[in-house]
Amino acid sequence: MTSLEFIQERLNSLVNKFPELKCSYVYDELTYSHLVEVKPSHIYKENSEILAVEMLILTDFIDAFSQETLTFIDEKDILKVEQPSFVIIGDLYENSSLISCFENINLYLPNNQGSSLTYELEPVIISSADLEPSLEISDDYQLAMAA
Amino acid sequence: MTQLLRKSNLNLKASSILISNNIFDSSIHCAYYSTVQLMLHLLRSEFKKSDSDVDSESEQGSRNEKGFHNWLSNFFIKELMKKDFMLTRDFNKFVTTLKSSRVKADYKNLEIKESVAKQNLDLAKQINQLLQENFQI
Repeated sequence: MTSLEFIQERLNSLVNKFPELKCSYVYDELTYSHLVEVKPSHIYKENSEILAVEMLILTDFIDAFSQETLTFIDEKDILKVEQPSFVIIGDLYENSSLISCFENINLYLPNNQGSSLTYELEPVIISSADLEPSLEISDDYQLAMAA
Repeated sequence: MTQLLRKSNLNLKASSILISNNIFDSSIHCAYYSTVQLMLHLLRSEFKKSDSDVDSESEQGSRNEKGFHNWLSNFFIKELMKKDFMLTRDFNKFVTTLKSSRVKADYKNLEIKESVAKQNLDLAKQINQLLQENFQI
């Protein structure tokens, strides 16, 4: 199993277990670092189990790939995941219901992984003109995965 | 005081001096290596590891700098995890951020601004403080 396959599998499990999460992933070739942005950041104060599971993923990753790094960040951090390779959105993620306002979006359920929605497509910047005029646009909708 | 600890302290000081003299690009290199040298010092002082222990445990030793630096920070991530999860998460973020800035400052065709240099010096100070508070210097 490659480090990327490991991360995909474990993030799918994380979001299935905690469907209120959204995880965005990118690999930084400069530093051999895998970055995962987890939203919403306030969830860590509400559910300490999420941090424990995250640390278990990190421990297993280090044991398997000691010369690479896996770093979990949130929206308040200096590091940003601006063009994610893939995004996994739980079906209870606070804004996930509004995703349906985008056309041409390709959603599917991970194999045998419950009901989380996974987007493994090239990111496309969606401008406000692409949205329903009545919708309030949050930062989360500036970046969407299109087919 | 070991030579590595002395070098770590000097690099932190050098980073600050470079920023004061508007040499922002090079300051990040010093800030980053201050944290690397402190971790290398702790491997020897707290964890009683010899150079050959480090070489064999890191598998590739100094032949692959990026891989070695990742191994080094991963070692401390696992040690911190025994103490506090949130502390571990912060340490991991700070080190990755500083590492990324160091690579960009040293190898990329871009200018480092004063605010970024100061931000990374603060990160190095936070990392070093975190290590000093959790391990025997």
